[in-house]
Amino acid sequence: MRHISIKSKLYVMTLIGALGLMGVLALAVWCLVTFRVNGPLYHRIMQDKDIVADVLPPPMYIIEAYLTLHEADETKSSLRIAELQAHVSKLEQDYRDRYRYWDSQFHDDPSLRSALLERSYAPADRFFKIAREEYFPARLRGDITAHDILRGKLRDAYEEHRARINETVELARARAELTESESANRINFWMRTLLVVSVAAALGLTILSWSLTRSVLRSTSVLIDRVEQLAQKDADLTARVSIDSRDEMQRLAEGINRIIEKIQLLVEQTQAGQEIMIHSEKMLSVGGLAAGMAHEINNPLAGMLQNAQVVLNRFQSDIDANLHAAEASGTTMQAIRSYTKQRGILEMLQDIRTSGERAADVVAKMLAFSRDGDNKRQLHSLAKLLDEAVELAHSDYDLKKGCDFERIEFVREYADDVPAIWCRGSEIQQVVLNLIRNAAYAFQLREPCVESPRITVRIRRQAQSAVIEVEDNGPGIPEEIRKRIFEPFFTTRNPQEGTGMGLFVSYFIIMENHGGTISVDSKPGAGTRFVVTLPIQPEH
Amino acid sequence: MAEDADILVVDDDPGVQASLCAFLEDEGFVVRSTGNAESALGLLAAHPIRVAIVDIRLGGMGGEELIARAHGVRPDTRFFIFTGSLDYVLPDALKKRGVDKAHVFYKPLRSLTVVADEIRRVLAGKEHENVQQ
Repeated sequence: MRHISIKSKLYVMTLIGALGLMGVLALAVWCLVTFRVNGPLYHRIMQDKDIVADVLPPPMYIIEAYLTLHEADETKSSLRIAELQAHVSKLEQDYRDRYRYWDSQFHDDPSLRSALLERSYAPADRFFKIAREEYFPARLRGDITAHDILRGKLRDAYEEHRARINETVELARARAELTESESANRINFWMRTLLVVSVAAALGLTILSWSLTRSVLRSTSVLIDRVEQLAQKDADLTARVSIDSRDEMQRLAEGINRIIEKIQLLVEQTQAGQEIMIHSEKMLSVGGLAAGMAHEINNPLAGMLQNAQVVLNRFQSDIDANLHAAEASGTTMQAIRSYTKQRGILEMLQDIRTSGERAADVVAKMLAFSRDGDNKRQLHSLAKLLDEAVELAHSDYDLKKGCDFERIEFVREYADDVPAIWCRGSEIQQVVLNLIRNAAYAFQLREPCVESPRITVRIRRQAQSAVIEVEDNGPGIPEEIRKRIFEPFFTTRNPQEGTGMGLFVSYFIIMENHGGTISVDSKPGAGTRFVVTLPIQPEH
Repeated sequence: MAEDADILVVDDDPGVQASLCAFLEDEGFVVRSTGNAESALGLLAAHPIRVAIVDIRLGGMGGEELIARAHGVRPDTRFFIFTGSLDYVLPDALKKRGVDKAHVFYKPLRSLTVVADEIRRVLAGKEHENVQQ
């Protein structure tokens, strides 16, 4: 029952309903027509009863004729005999009328017809014929044989007729009984059939519609739940509807699943799109603002650094103006220097300069990539650029400070089918070096240090792009950091170590200067992979 | 150590202007200063300025126009450029007016000593040698 399509179930239900109803109706009509008053069955039963009622009483015409003949036998008056002869002829007429009546009644039963009309009435016929043709002529002649005819032939005919009539009545009675019981049986049979058929149809319809309703309701409630959940704000787009009814509801569920998949895809694309949009807007605005901002920051920085330098100069004891000013103030440069030394003033001034210089570095790095106009694009072998970047990483002083840089194993996986790329070599190197530095830094984050730190540098071709991958087996990047990793000034290191410009600059170099892409994949605990793609065809 | 040569500082940032003046004065130069190009032209006309240190972005007339005009008034004056725009590239028009690429300084300088040194070289008439080196 479960795996039949709803369409088939509905068809079967409709068919059963229609056929059942039509059958019940047809049966009812047939019963009504067959058993109605004056119907064929009624007619047959009534006919038999007529025969019984009409034929059963001793036929008066022949009894009376017989008695009349006896009266004639004893009468002497020939006038009276003539009267009696007329009476018998009238009785014969009665008999003929009755014969004609029954002759007209029998259409359907030859056996009854022959029993009544041929066997029963033949002796009566003979009786009246003998009375008419033999008895009365002899009696009127006064012939003695008349008496013998009455006692012989007429008596035989009379007796025979009565006996045959009785037989016919028995036959009719039996037939009437048979017909009645047959009819009762037929009525009973058809009534029972009608009942069984209608009960079966009703039962079938009920079971079918119950199963259909139940399965449809079960499926719809699942679907409605899912659709309502989808309409909510925090809809779970990964869940799928599961209906295993192998009917239209399952197809509906599969359709809804496909729609959910499409929505999920759209949402993901939109989210990715938004992420990229937000990203590039941020990049562009920061990139565009950087130059203007740099100017505005550099001026106050210059004021700060220059003043600090001048102040430091004015604590020097080898400048005439300082000596004069000290003397005019009633003190000496030695005293002033001693004071500044005790109060740590020169160190503080030096700290101001250091801080200012760091700020100046940040600004300079921020602009470094956009000022690099002299670096022309050339055809570069990525393998060569990457090898050099790895070399540079080894000689990088900052990295050597880190824990066990020498332990890091470098794996190079360079595919053969990557052609030389039009790019600014130093920029690409800067990006790769930066990625290696970040990976090396990541190894230090994990306590204890990663067992066998490994950085894999990969070059491969993907359609019309060259792909550079820098992969480490470090601690990975948590999702909330990964999202912001390309933002300017975003760093997880302390301010002395990182400016938060490295990946921002890399992003700019790859996206803006080379028309490529840079993305990051990370599994916390398993490692991080940066993927840089560069178009093989140079842009013009 | 005192030098009678006049130095002019043109910078609209008071902190930068004052500290640069103070530094150069400590180095022994006679220093005049102003925050705008218009009054700088007046000072240039009134005093025998040997070296002018000019900011590029100024309120009103810009540093480049100031140099172009001042060069017409005093062809002997040497112009240094001191700018906060790290992407500033010296235009050919200014090179023709005697501005040396080595005399473009980007703010902030870690030490102003390089400026003082360059002024001394210019005053000693040796700057070309240095540039050629």
